[in-house]
Amino acid sequence: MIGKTNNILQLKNLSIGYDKPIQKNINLFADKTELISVIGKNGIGKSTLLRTIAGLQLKLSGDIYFEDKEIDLLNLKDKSKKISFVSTGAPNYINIKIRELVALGRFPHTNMFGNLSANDTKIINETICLTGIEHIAEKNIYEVSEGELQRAMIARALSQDTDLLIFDEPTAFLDIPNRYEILYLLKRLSRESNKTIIFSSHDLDIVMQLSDKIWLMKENEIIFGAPEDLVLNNNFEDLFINKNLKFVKNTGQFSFVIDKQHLVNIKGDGLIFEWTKKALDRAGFNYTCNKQHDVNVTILNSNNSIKWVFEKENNKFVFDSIYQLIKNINNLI
Amino acid sequence: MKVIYKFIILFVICFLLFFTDLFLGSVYISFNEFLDIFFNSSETSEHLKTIFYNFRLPKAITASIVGMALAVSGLQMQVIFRNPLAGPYVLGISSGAGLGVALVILGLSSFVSIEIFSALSNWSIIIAAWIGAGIVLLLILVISIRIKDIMTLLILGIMFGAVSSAIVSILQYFSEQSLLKSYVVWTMGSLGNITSSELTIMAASVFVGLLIVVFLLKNLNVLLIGETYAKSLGVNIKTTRILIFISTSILAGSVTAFCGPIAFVGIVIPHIARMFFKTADHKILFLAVILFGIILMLISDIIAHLPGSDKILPINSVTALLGIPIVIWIVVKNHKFKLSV
Repeated sequence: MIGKTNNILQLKNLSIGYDKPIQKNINLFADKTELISVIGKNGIGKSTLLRTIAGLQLKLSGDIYFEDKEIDLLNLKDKSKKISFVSTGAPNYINIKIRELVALGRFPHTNMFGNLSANDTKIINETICLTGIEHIAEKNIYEVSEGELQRAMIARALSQDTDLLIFDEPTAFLDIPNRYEILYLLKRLSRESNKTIIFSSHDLDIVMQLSDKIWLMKENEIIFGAPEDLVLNNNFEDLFINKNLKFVKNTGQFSFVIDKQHLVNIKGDGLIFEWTKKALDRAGFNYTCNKQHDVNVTILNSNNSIKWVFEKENNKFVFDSIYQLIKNINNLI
Repeated sequence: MKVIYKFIILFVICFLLFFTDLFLGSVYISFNEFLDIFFNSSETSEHLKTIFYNFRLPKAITASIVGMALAVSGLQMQVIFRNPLAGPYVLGISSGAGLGVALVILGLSSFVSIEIFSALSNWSIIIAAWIGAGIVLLLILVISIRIKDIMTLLILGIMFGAVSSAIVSILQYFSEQSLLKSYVVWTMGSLGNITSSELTIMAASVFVGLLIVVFLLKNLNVLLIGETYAKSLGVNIKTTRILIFISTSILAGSVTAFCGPIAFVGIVIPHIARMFFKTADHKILFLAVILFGIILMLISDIIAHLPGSDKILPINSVTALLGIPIVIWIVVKNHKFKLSV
């Protein structure tokens, strides 16, 4: 089934943690050029797992194989040529240019005094282009935004020129557009640069769209598979044990559980119809679509204006926005 | 401006200040006499030659060595502790040296007669200071093998310093006035009380300290972005830390042993160097702090001698009075200073 030659990383009966194990008997693998996301609630051991793989933390027991070689047999320098690491946020409070920061990634490849060769400079320039930070390369790190800084940290890891890159919550503290952009950048890197990337994230909706494979960490096991496999196998249901949340399989997202009492029939079609449904759902109403019922909301879409007509028994109210409809519907029903 | 031009400027300033320091002093030497000492030494009076070769030249050389040693150790400490106010003495090295000296001047002298004590002379103080600094270093090393968190080490270093100071206070409280004064004079620092044999030994130890740092420059660059990233780039954190501590102790410990504690040079110079060269590359910063360190110490020494008068100010006070305004200026001027290591 799975060609062994394609494995870049294998975890065998691995136990991780500080003094006591957080996770035991981990058996996972990463294939070359895969983009793998690590999902799980806080404290489940995502960082510990990634830091252990990156060699920043000692494993408790078991084995980690990098390209079929036990990783502990590699010395620090050799390991740093095979695995690079980026964590949440970036260094603060230091005075360093973005280009200098990226250049630090060449550390394992340079001589004793860290002099950059022509080849080093070429690689640094390439990674700066690849991550789209040319315009800030000469700026100091305190002059750029959080998202740009995180790109620079990724560029630094890239210039380390390793086959495996590990990112520990690279999108924490970033705003939503930056989250999408950073994770999309990881996707591009795994495709265009043939890198294997393992990253942890809480952005389930983005992860579902991008990952080749998910390592889903639960209390006593780690499940892996394509995002779609995990949905179909009901693996997300108990990810967050919380009576107010449920996993919606159709959308692959979590949504709130709301007590619903009243039933409303919605008449209409198209995009406005869909969003009206969402609004009623949010407001805590059950709804039927285009049927006959005591309580009806009819969407009237004439040329220039959209109206929502609320009808109950013989009463009729007209609203010109969803906001108005939802605001008043509770009193009318 | 290119880096090389900046270095040329600094070299020229160093050179000029060195000669100014030789030229100016409590005893007036005219410019012609000054030239004679160099080019016509047969016609120069023995008196001036003595002043020049036995006092001023060793003092200017001492000032330069002190400047470079303190500046380089300050640079290292600011990187490893990621703290802009870290300096050569943050590990408690000067306090340890001070305790050693206090034990000799204030403690030992209670047991032996003044005659024997004077015979022990300079060397006993130097050795005591070295041992004191060395013991603090050993404590730090032993702890740093067990404790991983660098901030804990910083706090422990400060605590060692506090304990040493407390013991010194007790010794001071019980000691005679004359001895107390000689200890206080030691704490004020001095560049002039150094013989040529002492100077040779100080120069040699500072050279060894600097040599160790040369091999750490690459690691210092990476340590800037934190120990986790440094480790992921293949730096052996433990070895690097130990070498940094050893070199700092050699540099700061030797300076303190021979010249007493000299404040603020080690804190201020790295900031000036970073502002001037606008780089985080420690190969450049290493050379830069050496030159700036020499410059600041030579200026301090020139000021301390109050040219034209026969009074000399304590060098430790001059460096503090020069250094503190520079720190304030940097903090106020540079809004983005933050913890600008």
